[in-house]
Amino acid sequence: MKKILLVDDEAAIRSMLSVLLKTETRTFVEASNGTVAQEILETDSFDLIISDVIMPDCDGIELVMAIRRKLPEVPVIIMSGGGRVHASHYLNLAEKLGAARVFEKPFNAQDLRAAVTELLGETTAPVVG
Amino acid sequence: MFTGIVRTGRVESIVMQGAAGRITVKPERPFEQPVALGDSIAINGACLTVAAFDGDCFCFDVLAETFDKTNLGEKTSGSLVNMERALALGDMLGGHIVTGHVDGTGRVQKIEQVDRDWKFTIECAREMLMLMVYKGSIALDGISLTVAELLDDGFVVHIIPHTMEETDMSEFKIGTKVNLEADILGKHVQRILEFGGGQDYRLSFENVQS
Repeated sequence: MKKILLVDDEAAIRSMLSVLLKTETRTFVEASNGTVAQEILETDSFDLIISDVIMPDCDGIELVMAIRRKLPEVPVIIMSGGGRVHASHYLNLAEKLGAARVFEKPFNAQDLRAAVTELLGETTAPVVG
Repeated sequence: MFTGIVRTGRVESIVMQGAAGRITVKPERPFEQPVALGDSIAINGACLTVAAFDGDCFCFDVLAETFDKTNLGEKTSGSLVNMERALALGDMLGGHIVTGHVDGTGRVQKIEQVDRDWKFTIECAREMLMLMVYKGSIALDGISLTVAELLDDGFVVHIIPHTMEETDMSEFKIGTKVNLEADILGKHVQRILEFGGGQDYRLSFENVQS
């Protein structure tokens, strides 16, 4: 079973991500910001982290830096913040800091699914539960 | 309100934007009447609202709940889906009354060709089966079909070549997830039974008046 940490300050976006990415071989844990995510990462391990880039408290950039420092083997996907601000420069920065993939909303769900499948090392598209 | 007589369309994209997703679908043949923003169109039996146009395509905003409770979350660019415009007064009810609210999902368990027709066995939860009756109606991906057999863990529908040609069933494979909406009548009966079969409310002229 692959474990994915979803980090976004909007519960509806976390929910959407878990619905679109769910399969019989994946489980999800949700965090409402980067600080909460880092607390979870102290005690739990994950195969992939997907995070919003702009959040109150600790944002996606800080989170990427912390993960690269402490958990360099865990891939991170960074997404922009839903069109409220122009986030491309944050995404570029996240990529430079070590994010495995970045997605600027709106993006095709199929592309995100493909990236997740690849980063989890799943060879074929898993069956959705 | 729909009747389960559908036409096909192809998913152009499913895009994630903020808290909602947006599914864009291109009908394989145009609707006879113009479609306006805000019109209701069922996609695979799920009633959605036209939020925008993109050339010949219709765009619908979809919440996580809808992706979760239907098979729309499994679709990708190029997937074949069924489309039906909401009925207008005076339209022909060629199928049965379909509300556009998906009750649950099932999976294609078996596909058999029987002479010129096809027999599909659909696996589904017992909660769905409870609402079905032999030779009753079921909306499968929004298509009005007749329950041909009831099994312990699913049901069977027989499909004529016309339905295969005009719906997404032509692309069904073993394991394909399908949307199911039971006949509204079964749901009302279930609700009455939940209230003790109406024992606590006897229908009488006095009760109706009060």
